Amino acid sequence: MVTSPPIPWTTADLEACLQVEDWRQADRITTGLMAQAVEPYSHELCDESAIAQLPCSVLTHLDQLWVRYSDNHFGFTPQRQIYLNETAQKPLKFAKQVGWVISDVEFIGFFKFYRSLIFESSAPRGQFPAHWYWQLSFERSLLIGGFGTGRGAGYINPSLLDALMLRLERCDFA
Amino acid sequence: MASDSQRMANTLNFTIQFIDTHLDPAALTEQVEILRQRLQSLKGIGRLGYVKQTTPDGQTHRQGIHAPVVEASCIRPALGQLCDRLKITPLQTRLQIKHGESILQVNTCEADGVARYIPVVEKMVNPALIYQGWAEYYAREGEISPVAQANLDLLQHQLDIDPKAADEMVAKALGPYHNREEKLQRYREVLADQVAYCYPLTDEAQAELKRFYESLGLTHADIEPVETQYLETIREAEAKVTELQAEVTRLQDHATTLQAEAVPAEAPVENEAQRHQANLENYRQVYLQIIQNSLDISEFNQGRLEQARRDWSLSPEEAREIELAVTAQCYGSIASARGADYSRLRLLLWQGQWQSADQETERLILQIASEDMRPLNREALIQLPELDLQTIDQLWARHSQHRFGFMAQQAVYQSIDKMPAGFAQAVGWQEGWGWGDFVKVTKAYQELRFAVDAPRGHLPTWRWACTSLESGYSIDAEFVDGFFVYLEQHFPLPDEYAGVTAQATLEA
Repeated sequence: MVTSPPIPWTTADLEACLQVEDWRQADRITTGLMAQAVEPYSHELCDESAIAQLPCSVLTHLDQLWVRYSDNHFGFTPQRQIYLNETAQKPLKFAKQVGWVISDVEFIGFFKFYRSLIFESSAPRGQFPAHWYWQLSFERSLLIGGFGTGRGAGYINPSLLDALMLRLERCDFA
Repeated sequence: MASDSQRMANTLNFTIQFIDTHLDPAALTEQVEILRQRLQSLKGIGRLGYVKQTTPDGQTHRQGIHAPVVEASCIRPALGQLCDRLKITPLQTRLQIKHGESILQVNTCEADGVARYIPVVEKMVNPALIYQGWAEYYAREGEISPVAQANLDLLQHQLDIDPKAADEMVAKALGPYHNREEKLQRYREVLADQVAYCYPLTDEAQAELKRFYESLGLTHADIEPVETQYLETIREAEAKVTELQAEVTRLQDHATTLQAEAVPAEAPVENEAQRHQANLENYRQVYLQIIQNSLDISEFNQGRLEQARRDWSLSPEEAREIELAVTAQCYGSIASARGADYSRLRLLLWQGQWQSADQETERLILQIASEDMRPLNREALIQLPELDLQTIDQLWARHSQHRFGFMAQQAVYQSIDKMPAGFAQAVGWQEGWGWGDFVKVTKAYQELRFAVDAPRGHLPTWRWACTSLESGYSIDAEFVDGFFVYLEQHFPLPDEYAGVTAQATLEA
């Protein structure tokens, strides 16, 4: 579970991490910034209606920073392009493409534990931001077949992923 | 009068085949059918037949159109229609045109590819006949409008016709004035109009008048008496005006109001206003003629309109106002209470691009009624202005013969006795399985049917109320109820929806 710091995150924090290519910390801060932007204030991003009301300006700003410092390798724009053009708007296919899933076998889509993602620039294109998607309440994690450990070892929640993609569309992402 | 050989020379035949192998037979048939309907409305095209094709598995389907007897003057509008179709849907097309011994065959998938050959085809037939055909067409009202004249001049260059011969043909086409007296009478009228419009005559107007009597086949010697006589009349009138003015000045001391009545300069002003009114009406007619065939105006026609606007000295704003009104009359109003632009939605619906139109509908609704493009919930419905709801509904209904749109959805809703829980299934957004549809399966957005044969009320979708379009494309009963309560408050269901039943339920 993400723990919010006593002082809210700022985009300057994010920029500082991205500059030194600390993808792991940048990803966590991104989740924090997204959660902070949702009204009423909540630390969880686990349902579609929270995603659907993320302010466009916040998403755009986060995306600009990720795209700039990763040279268009990470960020919402590359993710949306992959979702639209490479994986035919199929959430499971997308999750495989960006390396979020353990098995490459069709129909088996257990999610990796968050810590086993690749926190290097050599990670698959579009792998980050990822941390927000691993944020699940304990009960919901059990429901999707996990062990109460966030998304790790659970099944995909396609509509949550689609909710973000839809939000990006409405916010006029390319 | 026209002998058989003349008739032969004046007609040709053509075949249009869509040879795009990517298209399935149903889609192909639809394309052929659209083109046929457009062609059939043209004058002089004759009877139309289909080109059929048999697939390896023995199925026969329509692949193209054959027109056996087409009047030469009709070939430009006919190929123009094909261009417009290809602009919307580029398809690999084989176009074959036969005239006597000569055959022209073109394979292309672009509108420009076809447009390039129009002059070639026209030259293939006797170019003079083409010109004559157009001259007669334009002259049917008894005179050639400025824009028609511009087109004729262009045509004369393209077809490489001797200007003298062209003038003679135009003069011939302007049949009504075939004797000298009538021509002189006509000239007198035109001169009178021109003088009323602007006096004294400018050099430009005089040059135009000269061109006019020459096109009528008159010489300067012919019209000189007319002019002298007319100018004499004017001089007399002027003298009278001067006299009247003197009178007015005299009366001024007694009654200042009399002055306004007596100032003779008002007559031409009124005349000018009438002329302007006529020009507005002319422009309206030209625009109507163009827009009736296609909502997507070709560059060629845009040029024609611009030329017409200048010739009739209308301001861009005046022209724009006419265009908006006529387009709304032909293709539906795009009025908005919040300054939203519905013209793209109208175009997409006219083109039958249902899915793009659905996305555009969401974009517009969120733009007018939501903050930061967030999906609408039940409370936010009151943000939708009545006018905009009506515009959206009316556009969908008009382009789907009332199959789609909010009113169609309301009719379906009433046919299931206003049970919110059953609505999604009644319009085909949900499927029922098992005994009594015990299990309901919500379709993902991508699985919905974006075609004209979708169940009644299937479109537009309510994606603007959704947070996700994957398995989450489901509208809860409370929202359904809220939407229809809001709708019923503002719009009683029109008569044309009486007796509508939910098709999706009947099929299940």
